[in-house]
Amino acid sequence: MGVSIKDNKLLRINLTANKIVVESIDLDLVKKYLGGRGLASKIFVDEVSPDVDPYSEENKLLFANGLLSGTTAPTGGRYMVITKGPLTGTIASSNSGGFFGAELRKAGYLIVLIEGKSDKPVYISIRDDEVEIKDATYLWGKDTHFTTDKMLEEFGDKHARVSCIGPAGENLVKFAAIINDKGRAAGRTGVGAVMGSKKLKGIIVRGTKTIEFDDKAKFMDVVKTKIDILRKDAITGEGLPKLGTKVLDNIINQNGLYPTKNFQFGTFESVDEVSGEALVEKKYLQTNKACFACPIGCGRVVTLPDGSDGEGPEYETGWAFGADCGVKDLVAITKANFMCNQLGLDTISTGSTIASLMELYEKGYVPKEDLNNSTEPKFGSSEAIIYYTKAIAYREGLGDKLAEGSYRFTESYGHPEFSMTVKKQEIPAYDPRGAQGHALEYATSNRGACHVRGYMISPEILGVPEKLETQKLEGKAGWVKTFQDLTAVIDSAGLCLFTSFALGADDYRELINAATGFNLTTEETMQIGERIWNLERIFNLKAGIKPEDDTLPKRFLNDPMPDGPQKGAVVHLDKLLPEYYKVRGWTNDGHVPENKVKELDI
Amino acid sequence: MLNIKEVEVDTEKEEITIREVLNIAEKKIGKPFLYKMLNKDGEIMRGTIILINGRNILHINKLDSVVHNKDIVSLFPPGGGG
Repeated sequence: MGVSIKDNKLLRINLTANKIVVESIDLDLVKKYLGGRGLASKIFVDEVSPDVDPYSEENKLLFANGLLSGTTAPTGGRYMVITKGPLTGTIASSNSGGFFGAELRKAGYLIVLIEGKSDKPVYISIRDDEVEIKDATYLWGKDTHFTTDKMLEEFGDKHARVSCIGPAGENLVKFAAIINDKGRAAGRTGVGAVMGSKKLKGIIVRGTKTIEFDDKAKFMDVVKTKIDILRKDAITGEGLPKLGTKVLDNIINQNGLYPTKNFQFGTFESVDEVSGEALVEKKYLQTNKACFACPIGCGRVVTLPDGSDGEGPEYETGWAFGADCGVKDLVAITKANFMCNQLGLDTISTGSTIASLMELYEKGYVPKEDLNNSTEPKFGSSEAIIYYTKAIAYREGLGDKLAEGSYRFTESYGHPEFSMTVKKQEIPAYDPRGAQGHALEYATSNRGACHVRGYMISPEILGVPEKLETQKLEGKAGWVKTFQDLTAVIDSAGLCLFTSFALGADDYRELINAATGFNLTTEETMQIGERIWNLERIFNLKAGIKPEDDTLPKRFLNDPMPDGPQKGAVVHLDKLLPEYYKVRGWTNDGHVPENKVKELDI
Repeated sequence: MLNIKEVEVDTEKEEITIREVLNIAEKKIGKPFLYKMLNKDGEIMRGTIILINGRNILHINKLDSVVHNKDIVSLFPPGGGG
């Protein structure tokens, strides 16, 4: 059975009332917000009050495919999870690859919207038009791998795909992830905890429909040209497939912005022990792996000497448990990664929260008696990263406080200045002092600190599409706006951000137009991104986030980088931020004026 | 890229250009690699990273940037991630 790409459905599941309804999505709304992050955010803000308690019945959780998800568009397998996040209190949208999203689209749904709350653990079973809410009591407390296997067994079709939470989501860890296909994560912002609060253990889906186009030949033609570009590009055609994201360890370290020991330093002396090259030399790396419809294949499949295996570590994870915790033991780092996948934790926030504990402990702010005779959290301790990862997921001992994230944890000891967060979300693996544009991106990201809302490392360090001087301020605000808006388009089209190393706004516009028959200009395409960015901003401001929260930890503003090529650098947010508000067309104090709302027709 | 971590480049001069360093290194290694970093006009390809003590040569003097004794030169083929 075929379904037109323009005939999109929303599957609404109310867990309080045990009610399932299928609704049609207005095509005009799709033209304005595409799908994925944009469309789901629009539906979310129209239905949910900004002051909603993230764990309340009134909060909603949307699994949203991008407009091109499930098609043969290159990397068209991404889906997003949208909700109000417990970690930041902002609109939370978390992106994942793998195969779950595409399968959901083939079952006929662009979006699954979960509302209400179940009083007992349940999971949702989707077999094309057959949708059921099923008992998950026997799965509660189990990890994501066991859960995935059991759900598949009960479903009776090995081609089905599962997205689920582990114990961390059930225990409302504020940075719990949702894991699909066992090794792919909607990792950030605590979307897994919202799922846990609704007692929803997982979703299993099997879809057998095909997506149809008005002019299939034209769409396939455009797809082919874009795949060619991706295959011929040095990064997407060679660098990422061969080396994966962990090629960045040495690049970022040599450039001097590789955050070490909770961002106290910008270089890590043991980088050679933990880098992507080490993963190959030590023979842990088995092969690379691609998500649905992906010609890049950056995923890493790894087996450790003890026989344990899984996906990762990627660059961010390897850093979070490695350099950020001062750990040079690649086996322990990889094990911590596997644990996060199974327990359902965001690796960046987990590693960085442990790093904040290590700094507090070494500075004497966490008394030894608070450890209750458990592992000493010292920088460099392999035992500590393993022990506290588990303790966080189960909220055991000090893990209970750590499960609140590094901001609330360090604040509970009176020292929030040691939390490396923006809007209470942990900062990823690039010291903001080493790239001024990327620093601005962290400070203004709508979901708290994030590197994939406008990846300024690409121009500032990697030289793509052109090389910008890291410490220069001029023009950076404009670059950040463009990157943020374009990323919102890519996230809403359902494509992987890595395509943007080779593709530009024109390419995405061509793909969207060929698939749908829309006649978007490049300017209109970018305006969709700007519309989404402003929609998120307005929600956040109404939710109580203040423009004053567009900032960074004092360490980056006041303490010059102590080492490496970026020695002496601080972030000049005082100069960058006013310029950013200006290029965004916002008021001087960071609010979105009425004329901007009208211009973007939000 | 070459499965080589480090190579020392010896020269009698106090300072030489990065272009000369790369040519000496390629000869010493005995395995061509510059074609992966430079285009047919001999310019640095998009995404290629060449650093002298952590500073990208695109912001110094490109391939005419000067290398001094004991400087560390880092070469990376186009790579990416997130």
